Amino acid sequence: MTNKNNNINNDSVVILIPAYNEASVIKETINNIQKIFNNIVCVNDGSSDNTEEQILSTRAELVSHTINLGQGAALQTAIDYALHEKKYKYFVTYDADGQHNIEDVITMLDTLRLKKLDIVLGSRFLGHVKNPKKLKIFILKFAVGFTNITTGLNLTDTHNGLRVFNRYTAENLKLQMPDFAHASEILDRISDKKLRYEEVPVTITYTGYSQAKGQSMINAVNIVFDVLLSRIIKS
Amino acid sequence: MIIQIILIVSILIVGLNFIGSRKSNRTKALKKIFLVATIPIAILFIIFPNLSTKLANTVGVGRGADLLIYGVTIIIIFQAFDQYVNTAQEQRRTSLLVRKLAIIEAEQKKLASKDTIN
Repeated sequence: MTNKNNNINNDSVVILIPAYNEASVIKETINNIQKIFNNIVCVNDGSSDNTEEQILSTRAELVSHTINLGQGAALQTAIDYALHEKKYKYFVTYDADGQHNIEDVITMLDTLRLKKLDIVLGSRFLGHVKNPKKLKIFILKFAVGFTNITTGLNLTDTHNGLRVFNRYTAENLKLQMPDFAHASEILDRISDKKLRYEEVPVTITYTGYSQAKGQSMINAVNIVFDVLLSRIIKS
Repeated sequence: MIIQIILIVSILIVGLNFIGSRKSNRTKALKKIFLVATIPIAILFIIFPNLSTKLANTVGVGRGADLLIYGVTIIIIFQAFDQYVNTAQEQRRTSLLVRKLAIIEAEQKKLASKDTIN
């Protein structure tokens, strides 16, 4: 493989994976990543299956929530843990279910570095979707519209798990929403902190597994409610 | 009617309390006064059943039982809102604890494995 990113030392990159009941796929996902990147932090978010054992059988570092908190909390734990390691300059969030393509991370890293950005977001609508479901696409597009209005950003895909960001962004994300609302929260931070961002087309593979695992569409109601509420309620 | 004003004001207070800061000492004190006052007022209404009807009539409601329903409705709505916010706050605190614990644990393991290598 021609390595486009020979300017970025792969050892300064850390891949962050939140995992909740992903025992059947997590090992394969990690092994795929390890073809290119060595540093992987995997947060087992209180899984009730043997996700933890699966992670332990790889070379990824394991951080384990005793109870299930939600993907946002798991991501923040991964970020906090990775920040302790001074050599990490680039942080990558990556879904455990294997829907992402690790090659995309290289392109995203290049974009981040060359254009001096703070965060690069994967977009499935600029890229290529394998086996999409029409309803899913419709609701995602709706979510995009909603988020663009509330954050003032201009994005094509607001709920993509694949993101690459620098240390400054990692230090400033400070996610508080425990569940899937964290995707909107990240965009809020981009908007608040005026982070330099860009979207890069990425390939998403919807397997039967990822579709069954993916957030149910009624959850969009929860997300909209939580996001709006977090803006009016001072905690 | 007086009751309509009272009810509208009450529900607005419930709403404002929901979005406003609820950690203030004033809200806490009001809640406590309300809790303590409930018992004697309840006993009063039990001993003098006509009292509630009289009170109802003065605010423009026909029966005491109706007034009671209005009051209870407001209280239930307040309770639901308050509960929602408290649970969310509690969740946030639990999250912080669990996340911190997870990181400490992972770091200890890392140190331990380094020790065995050296």
